[in-house]
Order: sequence, then structure tokens, then C-alpha cells
Amino acid sequence: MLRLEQLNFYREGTAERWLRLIHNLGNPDFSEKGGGNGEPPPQEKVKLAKYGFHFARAFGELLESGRLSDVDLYRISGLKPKYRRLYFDFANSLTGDELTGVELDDE
Amino acid sequence: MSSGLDGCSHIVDTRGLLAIADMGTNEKAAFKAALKDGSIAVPAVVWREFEDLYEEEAAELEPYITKKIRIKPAYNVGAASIADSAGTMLTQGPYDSHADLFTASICQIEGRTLLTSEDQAPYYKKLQCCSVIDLDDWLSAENE
Repeated sequence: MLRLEQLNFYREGTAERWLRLIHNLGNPDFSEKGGGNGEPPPQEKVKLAKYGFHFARAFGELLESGRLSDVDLYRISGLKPKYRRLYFDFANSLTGDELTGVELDDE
Repeated sequence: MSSGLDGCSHIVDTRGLLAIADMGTNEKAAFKAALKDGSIAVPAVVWREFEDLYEEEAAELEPYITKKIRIKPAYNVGAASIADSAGTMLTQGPYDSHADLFTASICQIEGRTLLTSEDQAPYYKKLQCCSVIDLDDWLSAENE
């Protein structure tokens, strides 16, 4: 960090601000605890990251029209019904603006 | 837990188990009693899939499951034969254990009736490999 600041890749004072931040938060590289807050990340977000929006839209329509069942969907994709409902609802509820702010909530 | 089929007249599939779990208390009690006395058996492959898909429903039904059927080589061959006749294959998908075809195969080989949900019954009837009954018709027959 300091070297990058000396080479003018970072603004002056960046290294010092970084050191203050690390001092206050603790260096995550030396933490003995595992990552995350101990809770599993929200499954609707995990499934959205894995399967995407098109999957939710395409299979959501097939499920709603009765041309596909949850059992069929599981056999095709491995997506279990209890996660499917959360994930489809979540994927369909997101607006374009909200997309840029989606986080896994595991930090 | 017995794997023999003595006293068993019907074999239920995954959708049949789900439909039983979703039934009202009185109707469900009739199926629970039949599962308990072994007149309705459950293929092990069906039970594994049902447990994986519907944990809570499986936990409710599990104490009543007394007859599980393990897959024998003959059932494997039978399932492949049924799939072949239907113009499909036993493809190796990571999540599809072909529980429907194995259930049909067991019923065909053992001469038992396949018990399933109303919406799934036409699929088995189209295969033309075993006798099929849906849950409502089973209940009606029990109440006669």
C-alpha cells in the first residue's frame, strides 16, 4: 500500500488511512475465526447467484401453468421446493436499481 | 423394517407420498394406517428422493413407513426396459434417480398396483406396464 502511494498510484495519505482502518477493525488476514457471521447466507440470494434470473422466469411460468412440478424441477436442476419459492419470489421482486446493491449478507 | 412384499398390495411413488402428506387429517390417517400395516410399500429410491425434497413432510410420515423396497438387479433391468419402450433412457443426471421408472418396474415385476397422485396417474397409464390407481380411487375402494 505504502509503495503504491509512493509511486502515485494512490493518493497521499492512503496508506495511513488503511492502517487506521485495520487498527480499528483488526486485520482480517490474521483472524482465527472463520468468515461470515455464523449464519448461512440467505438461500434466495445463493440460488439467484447460481441459477440466475432467466431460470426463475422460465421455470416460474412453467410451474404456474402446471406444465412442470416441483419434483420435475428438482430432478432437472437440483433446486429444492423450499428454496425455489424464496428464490423465485426474490428474483421477480428485484428492480433494476436494486440489482447493483445485492449482497450475500455473509460478511 | 421389512423388504419382503407379503401383505403389500400397493407401491407408492414420490408424488403419491407428497399428495398423502398434503391430505386432510382423516384421509391421511387411512394412508398412514396402510403404510403402517405394510399394505402400501415404499421403494427406497422413492423415500430418499422424498426425504431430500420435502424434509418436514418426510419427518411426519417416516414413523409409519414399515415396508421399504430395495432396488434389485431385476428392477434395474425392468426400469431400463420400460424406459426403452417409452422411447427414453435411464440417463445419469445428478438429481434424477428415476424413482418413477423404478416404482413402475417394481410394480410390473412384483405384480403390485402403483399408487400415485391424480395428476401423475396418466403418465404411468401411458407406460402400460402395471396397474395404476390414484389416491382418491384408493380411498374410495377402501371405504366400500
